[in-house]
Amino acid sequence: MSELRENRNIWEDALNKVDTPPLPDSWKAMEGILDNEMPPPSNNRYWSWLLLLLLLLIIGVCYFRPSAGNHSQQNTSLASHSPAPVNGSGSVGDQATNSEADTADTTNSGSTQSGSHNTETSSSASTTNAGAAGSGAISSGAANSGAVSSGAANSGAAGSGTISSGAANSGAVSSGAASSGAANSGAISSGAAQTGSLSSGASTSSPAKTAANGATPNVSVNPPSAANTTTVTSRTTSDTKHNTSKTSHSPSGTRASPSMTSRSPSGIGATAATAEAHASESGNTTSGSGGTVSQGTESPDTGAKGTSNNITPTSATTNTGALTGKANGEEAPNATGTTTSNAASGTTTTNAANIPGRSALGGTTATSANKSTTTSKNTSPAKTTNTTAAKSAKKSPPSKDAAHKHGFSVGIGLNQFFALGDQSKSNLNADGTTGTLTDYLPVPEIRYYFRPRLYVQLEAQFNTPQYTKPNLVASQHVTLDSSNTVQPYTATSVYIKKLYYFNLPLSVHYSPIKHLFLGAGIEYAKMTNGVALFQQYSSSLITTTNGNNPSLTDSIHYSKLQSFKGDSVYKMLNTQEFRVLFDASFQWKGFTLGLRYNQALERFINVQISNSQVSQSRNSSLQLYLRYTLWRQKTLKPYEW
Amino acid sequence: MPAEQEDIAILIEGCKKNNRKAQEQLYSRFYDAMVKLCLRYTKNEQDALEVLNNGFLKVFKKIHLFDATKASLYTWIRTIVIHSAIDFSRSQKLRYDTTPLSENDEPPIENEAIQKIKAEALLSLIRSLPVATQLVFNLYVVEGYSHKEIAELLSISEGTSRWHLSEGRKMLKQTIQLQQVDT
Repeated sequence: MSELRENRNIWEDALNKVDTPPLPDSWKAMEGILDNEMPPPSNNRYWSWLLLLLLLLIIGVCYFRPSAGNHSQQNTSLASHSPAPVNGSGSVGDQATNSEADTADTTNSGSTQSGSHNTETSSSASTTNAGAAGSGAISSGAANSGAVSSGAANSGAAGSGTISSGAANSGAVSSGAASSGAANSGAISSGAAQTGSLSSGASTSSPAKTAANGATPNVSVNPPSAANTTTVTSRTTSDTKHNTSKTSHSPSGTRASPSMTSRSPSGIGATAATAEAHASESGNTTSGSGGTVSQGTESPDTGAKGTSNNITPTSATTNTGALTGKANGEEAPNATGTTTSNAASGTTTTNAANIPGRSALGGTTATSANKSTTTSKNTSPAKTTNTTAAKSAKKSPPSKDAAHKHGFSVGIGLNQFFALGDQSKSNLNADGTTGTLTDYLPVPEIRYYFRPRLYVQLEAQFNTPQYTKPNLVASQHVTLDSSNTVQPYTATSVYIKKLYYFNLPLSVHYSPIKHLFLGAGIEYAKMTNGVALFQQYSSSLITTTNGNNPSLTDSIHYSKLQSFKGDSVYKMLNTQEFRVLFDASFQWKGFTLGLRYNQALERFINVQISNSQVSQSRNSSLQLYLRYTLWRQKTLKPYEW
Repeated sequence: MPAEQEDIAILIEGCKKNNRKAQEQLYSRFYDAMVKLCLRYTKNEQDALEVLNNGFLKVFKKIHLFDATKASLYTWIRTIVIHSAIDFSRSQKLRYDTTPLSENDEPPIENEAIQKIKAEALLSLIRSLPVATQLVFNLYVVEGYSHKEIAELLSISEGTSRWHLSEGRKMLKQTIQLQQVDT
């Protein structure tokens, strides 16, 4: 027998010239097989995205919630407490002052002294605001004489601490409030802090301590609180160099309060009341009514010596209420000094303003100031003032934001879905017959408002249509006669036409612009049923007369649209999935008109039809919706800007 | 190490980690050669892709067994794909004719005749052979296996392998002659 061979190279060369099927299609099929047989290890990436989204939602909620809720609460609490602490503050202040007395001497000696001695403050107060020192005095002054002035400047710089104390005295409340409310401020004024702590106990905390130690006195913490607009008179002067009391004049008995540190962001004024609470959020400081000084600012302590002292000649009457800066959380750019008044005794002033980092009135205030600070021990008078402050606080009108509380609303709406990309629109309903009325079932929704601009929304969408491309789900190919080269066969195929889901979208919406809300969230989708085209066809062999070149002809046995659920086709699909959604809506009064896109995180179909054919697809949808708010909690004001 | 070998080594490492990108690159690199091989062993394009993908699935699953010192990656993959084609042919209810081989073995097809035929026509000629004959013919003529190797691979006797080869040559010669007459 021969072992002769054909020339292998010739055959191979000849056969290598044939056209090959396109690579991308082949790889797609291969990838489908690999997904089934060798799923990639990083398959949980969708979960990580999901977790990330949830994390962002939580952060968003946590971030906004306190700002909305806390303020109002704090305010009220502040108002109620205040009085007692005075003494404490005083003492603190003293320490601070004492240590720094020297400096104080240089600058405002007078004030210092006054600061040092509360009782005497009044008298000393009269002298002037001793710059920094004065502040302490102030407090006392306030308390005692009722006059107060805080050299804002002073305070700005160092003084705040004192200030607070001053506040403490007179408007203890206020001061306390300030500290607490602001958290920041508390720190500032050492004296204040304490007082604050005492009285309200609130936020004072650490900052206060620092102040007390004198170590950090100047540090300005707070954001500029803004502006206290309302100042009462006062002139502000700023001495850059010396806290000096030059500027300050305390008119009537007031004293300049010198040095207290100014930091209290929200300032002392805090006391002022709930209303101000908002302000504080926004960074506006308010001045405390009761004698306190509000300095909202953070004075960075730059060490600038000078401080601006605002002195307000105050009259007790003048201001009571503090005044607030802007209520809406907006920061007031320049906080200029403000003033406050003291209710009780006369009052005070403030200064203000400082923008963080800058000393308010040009004065940068400074450390020196701080040093100089003194505090005063407060005496009883403070109590009285406190009460007045509280009253004034109550009287003050609530800010606009304050009126908005968080709460629920309930609404209902309709959705219109559109086909995207290669999805084909279908006029079939869930039963597989024509007519899409049931695609428009009303969608209930519930919202929880954290603030007018921010809410979380949960919807329940029933019988939601999901358009798809005609995905081949299954195909059965039976060869009837394998003896021939051309083999007749019978084939049964199932093509998906439309799917129906029950969706639970949870989303967070925020309004960057009036009436316009942007949202994002996640959506749980559970497939309820689907409509598919079931088709069976066969091919039969046709032979020519001479028996050569047989060919096949196709004939369809049946083709019908049918709903499927719970059957073998349904089980081949992934019936539960999570989707991410992005949403933009326009809201007007109770109506919401929006557009939403969602994209599934995983495929709903990943079926290997054969080794060379894989059917894969992922859901996505675009919907236009209209909602109407049927009910909202009474505490929830209609959305207005 | 040459750059190409470095690339292949990187691809292999990626495939061992089940990295899709690496698998795709490996698939693309050998796709052309392997799909042509599969086309010769099957009756249509769809079956060829099935054989190819089954073969590559084995490649990816067994990639950690590849030893570069024993053979090149191309050879290793080609062997796996050929085995995949044999498995596919077996699944087609392959029947080996056990007719004893006559003393007159069919001589090889002339090279000139082959060179005159277009690639597509030659492929369809091979595809027109019965499955078992097509398999033996491919293994012997194109791949260069001996009858002994074929017999072991297909679990048949060498005589049966020779018979299929002879039958294949006869059928091809007849068809080629007919085509040449027509033209």
